Amino acid sequence: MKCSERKIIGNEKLGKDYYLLKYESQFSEKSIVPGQFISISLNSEAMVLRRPFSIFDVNSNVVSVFYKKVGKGTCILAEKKKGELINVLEVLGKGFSFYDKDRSLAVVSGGIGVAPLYFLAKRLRSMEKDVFIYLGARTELELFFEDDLKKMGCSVCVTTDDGSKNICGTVCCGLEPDCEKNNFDRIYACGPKPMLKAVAGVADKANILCEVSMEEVMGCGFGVCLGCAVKIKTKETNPIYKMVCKDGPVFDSQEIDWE
Amino acid sequence: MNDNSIDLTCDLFGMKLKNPVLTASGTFGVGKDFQDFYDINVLGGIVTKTITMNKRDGNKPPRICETRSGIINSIGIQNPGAEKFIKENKEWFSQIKTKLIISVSGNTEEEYAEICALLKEKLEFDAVELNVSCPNIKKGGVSFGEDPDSVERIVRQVKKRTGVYVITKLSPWTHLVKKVAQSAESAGSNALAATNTIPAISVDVKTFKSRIGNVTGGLSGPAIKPVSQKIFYDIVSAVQIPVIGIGGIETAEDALEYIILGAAAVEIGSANMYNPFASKEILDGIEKYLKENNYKSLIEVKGKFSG
Ligand SMILES: Cc1cc2nc3c(=O)[nH]c(=O)nc-3n(C[C@H](O)[C@H](O)[C@H](O)COP(=O)(O)OP(=O)(O)OC[C@H]3O[C@@H](n4cnc5c(N)ncnc54)[C@H](O)[C@@H]3O)c2cc1C
Ligand SMILES: Cc1cc2nc3c(=O)[nH]c(=O)nc-3n(C[C@H](O)[C@H](O)[C@H](O)COP(=O)(O)O)c2cc1C
Ligand code: FES
Repeated sequence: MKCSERKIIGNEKLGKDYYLLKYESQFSEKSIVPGQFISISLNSEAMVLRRPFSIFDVNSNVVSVFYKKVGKGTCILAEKKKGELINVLEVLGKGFSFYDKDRSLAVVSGGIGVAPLYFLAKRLRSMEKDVFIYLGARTELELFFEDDLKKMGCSVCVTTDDGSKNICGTVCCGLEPDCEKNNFDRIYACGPKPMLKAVAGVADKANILCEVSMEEVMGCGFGVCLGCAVKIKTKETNPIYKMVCKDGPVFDSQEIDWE
Repeated sequence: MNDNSIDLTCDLFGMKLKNPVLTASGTFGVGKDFQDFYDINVLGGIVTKTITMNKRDGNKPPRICETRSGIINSIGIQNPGAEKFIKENKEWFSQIKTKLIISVSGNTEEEYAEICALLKEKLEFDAVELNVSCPNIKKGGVSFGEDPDSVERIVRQVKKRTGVYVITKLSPWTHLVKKVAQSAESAGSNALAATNTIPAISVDVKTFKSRIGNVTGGLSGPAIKPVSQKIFYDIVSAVQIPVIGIGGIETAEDALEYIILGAAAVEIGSANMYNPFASKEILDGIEKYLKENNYKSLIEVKGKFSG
């Protein structure tokens, strides 16, 4: 874990409200596990807390972050220019896990959830796995990286909520019928909580192991404030909480209490 | 000591600190994770996350929300219980070369002394900090810290049973705060710390719900500094024992403000969460300020507030 001022190499607008930030990291591709994240301080009077972002890609020591403008912090971030410095706390959390015996893998993305999954797909392809991507977005305008993922050698199934491209419906409409056909060894997913819950349901029904990347508002990002609690399934009457920043953000979907 | 070195030591009447910078409970864990950033032993001491006798699961999420210049939290004192806390951290604590202060809370007045006795038996540490800003279950949830008699009994029992160095950490949420401070003092508290977070709420206009799972929480960070400082100021003028300043300290200047008002030391809270180097930077900044202004020791500025 390191915290320092890093140089921005690029901050490109990819679509309305969507940006790709690149900076010089202190970590290299080999030392980062897909699913891990970083946290940026925007040194602004308007806010105190850092903002967490998944690692979208790493090329040698250049880390990319794919983000959506949703509020104060991301608006300030979008104004940052090449050459400027940003304060980054890196690398945080526990990423996705990999298994030698896995052959066929489903990677399920909802909206901005594609952020950690791009790097995951890249890693899985470098291990010569068969990767089936289910790429869900609200509209065609919020759909990114379809071609890049195809170029990596992934099979890509696109769904849009409004039907502006391909299948009209949620990612599960694409995923569910494929579960048997593609004989998935594992499902990896990231997206809004209701989507993750639905994917976890599909995985349970098809008896496939599933890993999900969760989100919670974060205080510190490294396990000291106990702020980013997520409820864990338990048979006991007392609830059990784990920390998204340290125990996760990636969890076994069966571990999560989805209620 | 050579000529241009600055004397940062603080005498807390019964506990000597090498410098005035401590970390506030709940924002620094047990210090271990901060070793990635700097050697925490340079600090005056660390205060660990509050523990209770029995395990606490903590409150339902969301537990944190950001407000203008501040953070509302409602963690719910999640902790593994005193026995497990000791077992899990004993080895790490034995390596710490600065003051180790254990923060303690209870569901009942008696529980405070019980935990302190257990700690004394099983752990080496320098002081306890009594977190009295939590609900007294026997009194329908009014916090101990709002009741001077209750605080008096808690402190007296802890002192009588264990004799350990006691810091009583006060809640800002009572008009009786001076009385509470004096009760703690007369019961034998060695020092006070002020303040804890300030009760707060944040409403989401999209959902009409609170942004905090537990509906209300405690406000911390730069937003609370002027309020915490005023309460601190009232307390410092009401007691003879050392008072540690807490609340909204983000820079060396913030810390110095408390020291000028009379703080025997300071605790850094939220700032550790968003800037992992905060406590060390504040310590370096205090030293730099003293040097630049030709002071030889912290005592030369402590309590020199001129109204
Ligand atoms: C582990 C983790 C990884 C993440 N990875 C990415 C990523 O790769 N790309 C990306 O664009 N975003 C990611 N996020 C979400 C991102 O952190 C938030 O969008 C960001 O903090 C919002 O900051 P802001 O100041 O712009 O918004 P704020 O002004 O703080 O809030 C504006 C609105 O944004 C929404 N919001 C705020 N925080 C979050 C949050 N944590 N999750 C969801 N909605 C939020 C709220 O509805 C709020 O009303 C991730 C979050 C976590 C916890
Ligand atoms: C996330 C969080 C957790 C906290 N947990 C505790 C705690 O367990 N015990 C306690 O006495 N104070 C706790 N506090 C309060 C701090 O120790 C401190 O008194 C308060 O935050 C004000 O200081 P600050 O403005 O520097 O943060 C907590 C504060 C935060 C932000
Ligand atoms: S954000 Fe502080 S523990 Fe996770």
